[in-house]
Amino acid sequence: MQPELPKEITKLIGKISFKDSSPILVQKGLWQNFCSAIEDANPIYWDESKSKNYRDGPISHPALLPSWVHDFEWHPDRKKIQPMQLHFHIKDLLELPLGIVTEVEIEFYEPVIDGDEISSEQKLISISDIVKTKLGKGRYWLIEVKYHNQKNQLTGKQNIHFLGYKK
Amino acid sequence: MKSNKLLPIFKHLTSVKSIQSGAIFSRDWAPLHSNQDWAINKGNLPNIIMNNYTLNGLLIKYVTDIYGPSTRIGKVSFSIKKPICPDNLIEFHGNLENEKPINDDLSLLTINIDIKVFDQTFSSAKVVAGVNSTENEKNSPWNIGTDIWKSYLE
Repeated sequence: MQPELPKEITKLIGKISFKDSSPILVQKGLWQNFCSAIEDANPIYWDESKSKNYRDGPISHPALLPSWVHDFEWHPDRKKIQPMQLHFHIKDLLELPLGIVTEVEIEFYEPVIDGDEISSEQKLISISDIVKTKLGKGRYWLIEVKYHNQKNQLTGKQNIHFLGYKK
Repeated sequence: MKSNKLLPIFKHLTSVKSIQSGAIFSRDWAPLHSNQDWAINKGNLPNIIMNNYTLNGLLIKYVTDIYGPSTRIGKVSFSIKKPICPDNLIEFHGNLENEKPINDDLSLLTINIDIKVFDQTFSSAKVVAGVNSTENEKNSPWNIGTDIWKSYLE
């Protein structure tokens, strides 16, 4: 028989429980570091004049959308805000110290450009019964994240499936 | 329109540095992507593993390298069956599943991609992307307003 989920978890389902605001302005040099790491030469990320053939200027690499709400690893004035706080909150409540992403679905709407400020809101959609996996015993859960820019335009939506587990 | 056309295979050899830099430059500081000791001894993993932003970035690169820089990515979904680690030669095997003309200028493609290492599928992905069906660069899908673009993806 499966143990019941803690009430602190069930009351999170279907509600926006964490919001992240942009810790950093979107910057061309930052997205170009990422493009360099994956060796993506698409001029729409790199070249001011060539990108105008396709759009009115360069855009950030779409894969980085969630990264723009990730805090600094270290900051001189404050403690780090954990990215995907809802995921870590669930891990803490369930006493599952380890977690990995198992599945991702992401949609891209308004393109992200230099100078944008991205914010996000996180919602727990579902959580599984206890499962036994190769990594350990744990649970799967699904979190929906919506991303907006400073004009409140929806830049994208992500559904992330996690496995939280312990050895 | 159903297509089922095989796309070129793209190969990418991972390294400790490429996995770490993909994670760091996507502002993902989690130690399972950058600290080998932590990944093996605390994360119960075979090594550091590629983070999902890097995998997503490589999937998008695969599609835009084939269809050109005006290709507008609408949706990416993928499942991770096995973790991608350093010194893995990963192969992207794409299959154009569907090509749906939206109007005279734009087609919406649905592409299935298997990411294989040593002939085993480590990840399966689906990408939906808009491509310019004409020679005229002004018809770039990037010039479509967000509300209209979003309606195409529903």
